[in-house]
Amino acid sequence: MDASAGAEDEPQDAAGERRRRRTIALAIGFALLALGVVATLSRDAKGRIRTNGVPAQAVVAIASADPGGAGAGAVRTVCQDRELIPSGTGAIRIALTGFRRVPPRLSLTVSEGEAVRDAGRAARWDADADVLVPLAHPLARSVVGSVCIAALAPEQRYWLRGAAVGAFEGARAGGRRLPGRVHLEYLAADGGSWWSSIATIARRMGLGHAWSGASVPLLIVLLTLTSIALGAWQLARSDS
Amino acid sequence: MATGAQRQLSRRRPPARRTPRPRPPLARLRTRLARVPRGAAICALVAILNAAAWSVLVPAFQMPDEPAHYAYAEYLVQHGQPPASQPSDRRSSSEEAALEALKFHEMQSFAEEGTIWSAQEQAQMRAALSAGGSRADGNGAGKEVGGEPPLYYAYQAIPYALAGGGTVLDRVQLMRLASALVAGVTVLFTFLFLREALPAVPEAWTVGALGVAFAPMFAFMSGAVNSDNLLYAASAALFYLLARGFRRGLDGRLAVAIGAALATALMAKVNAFGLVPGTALALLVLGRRRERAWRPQTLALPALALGVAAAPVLLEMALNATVWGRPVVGATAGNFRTSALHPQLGSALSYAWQFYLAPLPGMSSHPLGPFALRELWIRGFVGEFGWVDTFFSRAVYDVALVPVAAIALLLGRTLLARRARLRARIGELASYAALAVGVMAFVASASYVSYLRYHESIAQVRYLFPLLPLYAALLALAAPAGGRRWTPVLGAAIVVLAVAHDVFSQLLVVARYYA
Repeated sequence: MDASAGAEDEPQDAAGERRRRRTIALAIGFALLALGVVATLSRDAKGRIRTNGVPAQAVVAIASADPGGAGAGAVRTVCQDRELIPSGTGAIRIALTGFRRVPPRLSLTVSEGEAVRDAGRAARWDADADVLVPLAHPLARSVVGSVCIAALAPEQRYWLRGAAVGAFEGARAGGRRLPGRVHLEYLAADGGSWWSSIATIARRMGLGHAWSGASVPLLIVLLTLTSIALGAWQLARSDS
Repeated sequence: MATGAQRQLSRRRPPARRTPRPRPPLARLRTRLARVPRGAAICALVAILNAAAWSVLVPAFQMPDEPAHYAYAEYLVQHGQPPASQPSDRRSSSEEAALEALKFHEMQSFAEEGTIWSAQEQAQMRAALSAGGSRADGNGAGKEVGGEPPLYYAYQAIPYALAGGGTVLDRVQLMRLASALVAGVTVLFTFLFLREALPAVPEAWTVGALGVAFAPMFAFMSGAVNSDNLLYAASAALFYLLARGFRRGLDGRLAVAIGAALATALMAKVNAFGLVPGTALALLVLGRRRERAWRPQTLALPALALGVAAAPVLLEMALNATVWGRPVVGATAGNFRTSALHPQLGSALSYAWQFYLAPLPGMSSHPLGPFALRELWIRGFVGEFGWVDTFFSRAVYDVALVPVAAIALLLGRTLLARRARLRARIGELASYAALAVGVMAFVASASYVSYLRYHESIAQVRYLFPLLPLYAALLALAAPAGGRRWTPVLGAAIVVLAVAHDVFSQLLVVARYYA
C-alpha cells in the first residue's frame, strides 16, 4: 500500500472534517492543560527559604509520647541546637515517617537561648513522608537557636530521618546526644501561591548555569512553548 | 564560456557514452535531506527544542551519570584515546572543582537540597569555575564508563573543543545541546519507521513521533550528556531500515545501511548488543523473502549487513589491544564482568522475570518489589528525574495507570480489528519482538550481575528507550481504534496528554531545584 494512499484517496471534505475535529480536540485539550497549570500554580507554594543541609538519608530517632512502649531507642523529644532559622520562616518541614491515616500529633518549638521564640501550630502530613508545622508567627529576623520536636500521642510513633554527624553535633534527646541530626526545611510563610513565588524561582533559575540572568528561564519557556506550538501545528495538518 | 583549447579537446574526444556525472557529496546530501518528509522534519525539530529546554532547565551534572560521561569525553579530548577500565573513578581537578562549586555532592540523590540560590553562592561558583584546574589528571571515569565504546564521546569532543576556552558549565551546556540534536535524529527515524510500518494511517505517524518527542523521560535524557542518546538514535534508524526492508525488500544498499545503523549502536553503548539477535532474525527473514528459498544466497545480504556491523567493533578491539592499552573487549573489564560471581541460569531467569513482571508462586524472591512492571517501569516512565531522586506525589503514579490502561485497551481494539493483516506480517512482528526481548534481556542480565555484585538493581526506564519506535507504534495504533470519526480526536488527545505530561514534569523539576 502506498504511503500516502490513506490520505489521497479521501475526499477533500472528509479530510477537512477530520482536520476540523482534530483542531477542536487540540484546542480543548490545550485549554484544559492551561487550566490545569493555572490551578497548580495557584496552590500554596510552601517555598523553601533554606534547608539545614542535613540529607534525609536514614532514620536517626524514633519519637513517641510513650518511649517505653515504643521499643528500644525511642525518645519523647528531639532537640536540635545551632539551627539557622532564616527570617521570613513561616513553617518548618520535618523529614519524618509515620502512620499517615491519622493527623500527626507533634509539638514544635523554636528557642533562642533560653527564650522560646515561637511554637508550631497543628502539624499536618505534607509530601509522601514529611510533616509540615506552621509557626504561630513568621520570624521577623533570622534566629540561631534550637528546634525541638516532641511526640504527643502515646499510640503513635514517628521515624525522624536525617544523617549521621560528628560526636558533638548530634541532636539531643532525653539528656543524651544522638548520633545524627534530623533534616529540616524552612519554608516561607504560607498564604502565597506559586504565582507569588515566580519572581524568586525565576531569579534562582538564572543562577548556576553557563550564563546567568532572566534569559535562562525565558529561554526555557520559549523553547517549550515553541515546541508545543510546532507540534500542535504539525498534528493539525498531519494527514494533509 | 569554453576556450578554443577546450573546443579542440572536445572535438578530438570520441563520442562518449552518456554516463551521469558524479555529483558532489554536498549536493547529494542536500537532495537526500530534501526527500525527508516535512512531517518527520517538524517532529524532529519539536524533539530538539523540547530536549534543549530540558538541557537548560536541569542543573549541570544532575542527570544520571552525567559527570562520568563528561569525564570520558574530556579524557578523549585530552589524551586522544578512550579511557581504560579502572578499579575506581578519579575526576579531573577541573571537573571536581566544578562539582564542588555546584554543590553536586550535597544535591545528588537528595531532592530536598536546592541548587545555587543566592548571588553570594553564584559569585563563589564563578570564582571556583574561573580558577579552573587541570583537565588532564582524571582517569575518564574508567570504573563507571571506561568499558564503553568511544563513538558518542568522539561526537561530544566537538562541542567540548568548541567551548574549550570557557568554563566547565559552558562545555556541559554545549554538549547537552549536541545531545538534543541527537534526540531530533531519534524522532526523525521514529517517524520514518511508522511511515514504513503503518503506511495506511498517515496521521498516526505524527501521533507516535510526537508521543516520543514529548515523553518527558526521553526529553530529560536527551538534554543530558549521556551515551544512551546515540544508542536511541541508532536503534531508531535500525527499526526504520528494517521496516523499510520488510515493506520494499532487502537489497545491497539497504543491507549496508542496516549494518551501519547497528554498527553505530554498537559503537555508542555496550547495551546495543541486545539488538543483535533481533536484527539477525530480521535479516534472515528478509533474506529468505528475497530468495524465496533457503540456499547459500539467502544468507549473502544478511552476512553483508552483519559484517558491516561487526567491522568497527573488530577495529575497536584491535585498537584496544594494540594502541589504547584497554582490554580487547572493553566491557568485560568493567560493569559486566562475571568472574567470581558464579551466576546461575535458573536464578538469572527468575530474576529477569521478576525484573519486568512479578514473582510467581515458588520463585525465590529477589528484592525488586511485588510488582516490578508497575513499581519500576510504569513509575519510571511517568517520571523519575535528577539522580532518580525527583518524583511526583504517589497519587500521580496511581492516576497515570488510567491513561496507560486506556491506551492499552485502544491498542487491543485496533490489533483485534486488524488481526488478519497482522498474521500476514508475522515474520516482521516476530523480528520486532526479538529486538524488544533482546534489549530487555540484556538490561535484565546487566542488572542481575549488579545484583550479584552489589545487591542492587539498575532498573531505569531509560535503558529500554532503544525500543522507543515500538512505543511510538503502540501510540500510533491506539489512535485508529476510534474509527474514521474519532481517530482525529484520539490522536489529538494522545498528543495533548504527552504535552501535559512533559509540562508538569518540567514544573516538578523547577520545584525540586529552584523552589
